Amino acid sequence: MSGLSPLSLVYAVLSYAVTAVFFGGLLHKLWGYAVTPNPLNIATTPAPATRGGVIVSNIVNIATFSSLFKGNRWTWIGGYAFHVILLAVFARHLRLFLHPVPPLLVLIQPVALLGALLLPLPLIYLLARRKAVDRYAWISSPADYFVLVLLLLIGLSGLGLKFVSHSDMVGIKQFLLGLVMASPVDMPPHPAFIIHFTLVLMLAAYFPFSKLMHAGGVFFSPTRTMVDDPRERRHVNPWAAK
Amino acid sequence: MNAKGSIAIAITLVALIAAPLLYTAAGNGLFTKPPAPQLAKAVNATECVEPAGWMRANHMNLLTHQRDLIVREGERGRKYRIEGCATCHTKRAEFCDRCHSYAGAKPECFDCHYLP
Repeated sequence: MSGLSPLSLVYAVLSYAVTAVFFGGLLHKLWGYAVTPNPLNIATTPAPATRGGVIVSNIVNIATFSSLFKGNRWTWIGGYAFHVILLAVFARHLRLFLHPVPPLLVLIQPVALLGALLLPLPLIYLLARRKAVDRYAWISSPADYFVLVLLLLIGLSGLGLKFVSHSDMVGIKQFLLGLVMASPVDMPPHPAFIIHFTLVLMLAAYFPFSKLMHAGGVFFSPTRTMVDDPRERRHVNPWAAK
Repeated sequence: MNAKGSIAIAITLVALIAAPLLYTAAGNGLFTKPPAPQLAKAVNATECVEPAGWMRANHMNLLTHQRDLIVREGERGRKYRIEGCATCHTKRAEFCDRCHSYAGAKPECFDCHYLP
């Protein structure tokens, strides 16, 4: 780490600290979800009556947000659009962390860029939804607004890097690869990049302790992952069996 | 779901998120300097048309903006020309392509221009 500029040193240390918090927090939370016993069979009916059926319905739900679609179309439009765009943005950013870059990632760049351009729209829509509809405004907490605003700022600063204030991408990739390879090098002192990177570090550190953990929680939600077979099979709670 | 299956899912999720970082760390080694593109030295001149740092971040703006002005608006006599680039950066494979493949960005220049 010697020979780094003060700015790069601060950000290298911050990056490692945030990475530790992110993965540590993630493991801690997911472990908690995994070992929490399910005392009762509480599959939300109608639910598949076989394990295979549950797996298929969960894959469909994660790919299309079908349960949200059945619940509220207006929320589904904004939420689903946002998550699809988020996937495109992730795919676009992977080229900065992978070396060498897989050819498929190069191919999808222009398509993913179109998606990334639209990122602010669903976020503004979801913010407006919370503000404008009385019953959502009533149940919205500061945390709900915080994640939306944080994601919006990340999106805008990212688009700023692409379209307003270009940066030295090769320098940025070298900095990121250096972090991943445990051999940090200097970070390009580009204001827009520093803002974008700082916001992303904030998001990563906040992620495991926020409602954003729905990303992992969706795999462990007993109402959706349990098989609807209470009449065919007796559900025995693991700790009650002993 | 039983606890064993759930724990397997939890570990798989974390492994999936860590996969890109592990791919790069495993493929390039830890505690070694990160790879950097090696560029061929420019010939015929010692300075670029703009400072090198600016060019590194913004050369694409010069190229695409001028392409639009020249090809679509029919404006001749712009300050810089892509043939001008090629007088100093003679080998595309040892100059343009090095950074572009490093960053995974495909330039459109060579869809029309022939630069060996």
